[in-house]
Amino acid sequence: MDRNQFIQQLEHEQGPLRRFLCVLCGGDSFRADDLAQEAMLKAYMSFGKFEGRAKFSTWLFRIAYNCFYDYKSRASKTESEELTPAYDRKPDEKADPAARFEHQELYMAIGGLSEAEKTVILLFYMEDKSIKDIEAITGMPSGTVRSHLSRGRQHLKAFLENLSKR
Amino acid sequence: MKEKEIRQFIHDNMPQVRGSEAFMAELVRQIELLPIPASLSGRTEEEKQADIQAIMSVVRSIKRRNRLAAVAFGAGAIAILAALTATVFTVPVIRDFVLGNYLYIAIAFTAAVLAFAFAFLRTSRL
Repeated sequence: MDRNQFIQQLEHEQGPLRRFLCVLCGGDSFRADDLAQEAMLKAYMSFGKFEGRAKFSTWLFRIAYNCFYDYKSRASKTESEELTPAYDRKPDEKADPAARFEHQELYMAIGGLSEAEKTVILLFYMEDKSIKDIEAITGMPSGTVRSHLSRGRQHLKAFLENLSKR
Repeated sequence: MKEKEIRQFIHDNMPQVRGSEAFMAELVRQIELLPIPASLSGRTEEEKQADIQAIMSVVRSIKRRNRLAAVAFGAGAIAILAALTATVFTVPVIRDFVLGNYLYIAIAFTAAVLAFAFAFLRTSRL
């Protein structure tokens, strides 16, 4: 594979990857794009380590998941910047009003899940990854993936049943 | 509630990715700033193996040349040493001179050997 073919592969994978990271980041698409870019540049520089045992997409998702995990660890260690009172709790006026509550139901549905459950659910239902691929992406053993999936599924069923009763 | 309905709900509510072209343009710009990794040079495994073999054959020829040079230097040194020893022990004047100034001769000999070694290293090129 040469550089142009690699870029074509990235072009093919960027949509699902950015979407997955966007939901993991709670809808922060700028953060998700930064993480996706970081993951893709890491993949470019370490392509020699790609052994071809897993699919390219799975390998890329694994790097991106590790980037997200590192970002979460860094974020939890460093204190976040305080907002000044003027900007505190103020919605972004420039944003499209319709976009402010976009995909709210999805975030509400997965909001109660742990980070690991959320990851497994998104990979399985949103990105249509197999259990084996999820194992390779997250590094979790098969049993753990299945139990996270089961708990997440129960949670989503309860949420959707409540939603349909309203 | 079926599995299919959960999947449908997530697919209906998942965010749509926007700005793919701008994202890819920025990514390609950054990739072009980086060096091309060897794994993405587009060379086939056979071409890489041929390059490795070419380098190995150059290394082998250098080793062979150095080995021959070492043997030639060793033989030359032994011959010169033998000739000098024979001269010292056969000519009484030289023998007396050597026995009287052996310390200076040893220092001069060491300096000459070191100078020759340094000069040889400076001129040797791959």
